[in-house]
Amino acid sequence: MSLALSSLAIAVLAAVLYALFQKSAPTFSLLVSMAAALILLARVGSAAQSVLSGLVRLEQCAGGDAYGCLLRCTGIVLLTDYARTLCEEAGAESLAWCASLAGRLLVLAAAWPLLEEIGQRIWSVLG
Amino acid sequence: MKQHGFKKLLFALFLVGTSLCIITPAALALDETTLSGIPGTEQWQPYLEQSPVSISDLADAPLDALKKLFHGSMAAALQETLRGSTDALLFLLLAALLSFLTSETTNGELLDLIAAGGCGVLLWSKLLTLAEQLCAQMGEWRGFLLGFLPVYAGVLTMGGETAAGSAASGFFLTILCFLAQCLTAFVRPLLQCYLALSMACCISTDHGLAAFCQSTGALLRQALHWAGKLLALLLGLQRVTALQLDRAALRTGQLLAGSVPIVGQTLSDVSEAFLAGIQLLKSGLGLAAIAFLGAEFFPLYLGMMLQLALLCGCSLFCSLTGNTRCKVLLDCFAEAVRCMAAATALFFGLFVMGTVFLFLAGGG
Repeated sequence: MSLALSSLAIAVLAAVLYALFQKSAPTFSLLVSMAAALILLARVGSAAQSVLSGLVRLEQCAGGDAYGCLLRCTGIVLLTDYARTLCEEAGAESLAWCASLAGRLLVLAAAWPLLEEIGQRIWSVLG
Repeated sequence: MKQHGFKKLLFALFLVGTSLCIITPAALALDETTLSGIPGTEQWQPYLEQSPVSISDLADAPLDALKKLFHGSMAAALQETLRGSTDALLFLLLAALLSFLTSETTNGELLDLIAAGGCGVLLWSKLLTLAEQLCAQMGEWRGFLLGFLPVYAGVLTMGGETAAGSAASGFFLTILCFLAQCLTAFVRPLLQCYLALSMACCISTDHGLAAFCQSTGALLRQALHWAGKLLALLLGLQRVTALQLDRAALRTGQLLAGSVPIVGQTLSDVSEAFLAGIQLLKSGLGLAAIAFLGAEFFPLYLGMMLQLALLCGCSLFCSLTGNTRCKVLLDCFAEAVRCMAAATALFFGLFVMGTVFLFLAGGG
């Protein structure tokens, strides 16, 4: 409970600082946002780690490769989305687009073994 | 959930139940001495012995006999199906958990696609295994029928039912063998094509493709339903015609035997005792064959029903979590399982109906 409250307090404080510096010092406000995000992620790190290790354990029971692929893709999507949002926040629209494209490419690359397997099964029907 | 296969199964069960009620008194009297005078023991005896439950047990305590018949095999089949399909269900559950993390991301659609692909890959092999089980079972049943129905036809002919004998070893055997051969040859490739099409539906965003895929399955099921009705009608008509012919021949024989003075009456009495034994053997053999096939059919059919229930459950789960791609894919897969179940029920239903017609009509 205290972790949740302190995390929320950090988020609200960072948002206030961000709003204060957005006009006068946009670079500083971006740094505040990034730092707050890092602090927040570090604070929930132990919870995230336990969830992640639980998910990895379940990977063995839930069809191995397919689930591992989904897990990797989820990680990539989350990171990409954060990077894209940061770029948009900094006003770098083209960079945000690039981050989004890179994310999609990485997801496709991570999902490629699965897609290849689907393709192979479909081709095997054709002979 | 509309299931023609299930209706056929209920009809088959009804026929078996009715026949059990009718032949109970005769079956209770079944013993070695009753059948000892009938020739060709080495031909028909193995089929009586092959029955997983004895006919007397079935007539005496049907519920206990059915429990004994299905208990072990059912449990094994259910365990096998559950073991095979729970990983797909777990995969979907975990995909839904992950979707909580990515609910506000812009690439959620891509993750849905991957979840659907993963689910498809996991279930593909399970469904193919099910189809292989079906094909192997059909092959075995075909082999059994090729041996059993000529022997059964011989028993019918021995009992004075020449037309019924020719029908059993002719049209009835041909229909069942043709059906079994078609299912063995076509189920696997057809299923593979259907699964490939379903996977294409899941990758494509075109809703028309999924609807086409599902309606193809529904059409096939409808075709099986009508084919079943038509074949049942033909079998029934043939049985009625054969019965009339056999009855006419039997009455002529009795008339001719009765017209011979002194010896005729004795001859008639002996033939009646012999015919009573044959009728008993006819019922016993028919029920033994139904019990033999039923012991293998029910675990297979129940496995399919369980697989279908799991697929429907997964589909419902996907619709609740908003993963439409997975839902569409699972609906297509469920249709494939329905088709396989309908084909299996058609085969078993026809066999049960044909056999029950053969041993109930004409005295049994």
